[in-house]
Amino acid sequence: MTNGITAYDKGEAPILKISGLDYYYGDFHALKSVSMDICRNSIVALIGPSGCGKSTLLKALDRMSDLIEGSRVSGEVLFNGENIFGAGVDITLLRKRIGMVFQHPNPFALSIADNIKFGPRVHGEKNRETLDSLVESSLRAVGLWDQLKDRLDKKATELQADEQQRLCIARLVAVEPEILLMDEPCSTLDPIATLSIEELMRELKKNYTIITVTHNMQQAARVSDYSGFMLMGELVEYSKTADIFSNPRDKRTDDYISGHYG
Amino acid sequence: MKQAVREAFISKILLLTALSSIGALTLITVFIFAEGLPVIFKTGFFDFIFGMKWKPSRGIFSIFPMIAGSFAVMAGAMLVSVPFALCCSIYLAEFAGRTTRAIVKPAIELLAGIPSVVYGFIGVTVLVPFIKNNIGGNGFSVLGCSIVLGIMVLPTITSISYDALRAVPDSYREGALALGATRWQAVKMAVVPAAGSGIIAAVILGMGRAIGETMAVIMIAGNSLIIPLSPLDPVRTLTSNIALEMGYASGMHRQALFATGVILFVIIMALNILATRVIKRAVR
Ligand SMILES: Nc1ncnc2c1ncn2[C@@H]1O[C@H](COP(=O)(O)OP(=O)(O)O)[C@@H](O)[C@H]1O
Ligand SMILES: [Mg+2]
Repeated sequence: MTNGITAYDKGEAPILKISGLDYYYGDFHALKSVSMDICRNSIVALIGPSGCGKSTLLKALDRMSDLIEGSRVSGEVLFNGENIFGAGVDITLLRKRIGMVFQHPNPFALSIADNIKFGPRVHGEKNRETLDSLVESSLRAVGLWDQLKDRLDKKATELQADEQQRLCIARLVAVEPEILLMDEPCSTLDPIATLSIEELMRELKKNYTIITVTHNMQQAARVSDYSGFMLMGELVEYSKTADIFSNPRDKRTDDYISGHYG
Repeated sequence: MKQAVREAFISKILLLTALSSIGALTLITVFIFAEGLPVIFKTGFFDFIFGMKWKPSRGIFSIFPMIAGSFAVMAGAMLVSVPFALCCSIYLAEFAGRTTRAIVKPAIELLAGIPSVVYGFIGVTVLVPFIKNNIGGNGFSVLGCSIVLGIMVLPTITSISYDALRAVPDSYREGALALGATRWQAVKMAVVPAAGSGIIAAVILGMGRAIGETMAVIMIAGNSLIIPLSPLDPVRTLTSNIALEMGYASGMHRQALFATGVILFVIIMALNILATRVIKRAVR
C-alpha cells in the first residue's frame, strides 16, 4: 500500500524519518505503524477527525509521551539520522531541538522576559546580555517586539490569547530548535488572530520545520506544504497538500475532505 | 408550594446561623476593646506598646517585652517550619507517588489534631532538658518554643502550600518539560513561582497560628519578663501573659490583660487580612 511516505522532493535527506511507529496507551493501539518523512523547512499539516491520534503522534516526536503512565512505543523515528528512542538519547536536549506549542497558550506566570529566558536558563545560559538579546530577537521573530518592548516585566498571563500564543512560540525560538510541533495552535483564537499566526508560521518556515495539527481543512490548505490524513491511528494518506486536496488517492481521505465525517 | 415554604424556612435558618457567628465575633471584639482600651488610653498608646515595665502591683502596664517575645518565638517557629513545610509540600504535590502521598499527607495533617498541651508536655520532658544539657541555658527558651511551635504549624503551612501547588495547571509543567526542563527545573522555575502567592499566604497564616498559640508556649517558654537577646533566653509571649495572670488579676490589672488581648487581636487580624489579600491577588 502506498501512502506516500517519501513525499519530499528536494533531494535532501529528511529531517525526520518516521518508520513503523506504533503507540499504545495500555491496551489501546493509538498509532498503527505510522511511517512518514518530514523534509526540512516545510510545513506539514496533520488532519483527521478528533481522536484519530494526531496529538499522540506529535507527543511521540518530542517524547512528551514518555510522561504518560502505561504507554508503550515501538518503531523508529530518525531525527537527523539518529533514533530518538535510542539508548543514550538526552531527552532534555531532544526537547530543546524539537519544541512543542500547545493548543491552549500556556505562558508561565512569570514576566514576559522571564518566559523567554526560561528555556535558555534551563539549558544553562547565565549571561545577562545573552539572555536579554535573546528576549529581543525571539520577540522580533514572532512579531511581538514592537508592541511589548516597553512592558517586558509585565506578567505574561495578562496578555491577550494570541499574544500569549506568539509568546509561547517565541519561548521556543529562544532555544533555537530545529522542529516546531504545533498542536492546534489556533483553535482557541479568533479568525483574525488565526490568520496572523498562520502568517507567522509561513515566516518561521524559513528557519524551522513545522509539524502542525489542525482540524480546520482550510487552514491546512492555506499554510502547509504537505498534509497527512489520519484515521483511527493510521496515516491513511500523506502527500503534497495541493495533491491531497485536489486529488486524494484514498476513498477515506476523499470522504473526509469533502465533509462526509469529522 | 409547601416545598417552597420549607426551602425558604431552611435558608432563613442557615442565614441565621451564619449571622450568629458574625454576631459572636462582634460581641467578642466589642467586649475585648471595651475592657482593654481604657488602660491603653490611660497609659498612653506609645508607652503601653513600647514601654519596658509590666508591674501590676504598682499599676505599671507596658508590654514591649511580650511583643518582642511573641515575635521572637514566631520568627523562630517560621525558621524551623517554613523550609520543612515547603520541602514537604513540594515533595507531596510534585514528586510523591500515590501511595506515599496517601500515607504522608494524613500523617502531617494528624499533627494538627494533637492537643497543644501534649506538645507542651513533650517539650518540657524531652526538649527542655535536651537543650539544657547539650546547648546551654536552663532549657526554657525561645529555641525550645520555636521548635515546638514550628512542628505545630507545620500542617497549616504544608497543607495550604500543597493546595496552592496542586492548583497550578498541568500546562505549566508540560510547557516547562517541553522546553527540555528536568522535573526539578519545571517545579522550581515554573510551578513554585505560579503558586507563590498561595505559599506566602500559607506562611502568613502559619505566623498567625504561631503567635496565637498559648498552652505549649507557657509550658516551654520560661515566661520571664525580659526581652530575649539569645535563642537560649526565656521569654513571655502576649498569649502566655494573659493566660498566666488572668486567674488572679482584678481591676486595672485585669483590664491591662484585656489590653494585651487587644494588641494580640490586632496582630492576628492584620495577618489574616494580609493573607486573604495575597490570595485574592493570586486569583486575579
Ligand atoms: N493519556 C491517554 N490515555 C489513554 N488514551 C488516550 C490518552 N490520550 C489520548 N488517548 C486516546 O488516544 C486516541 C488518540 O488521541 P489524540 O492523539 O489526542 O487524538 P487527536 O489529537 O487526533 O484528537 C483517542 O482515542 C484518545 O481517547
Ligand atoms: Mg488533539
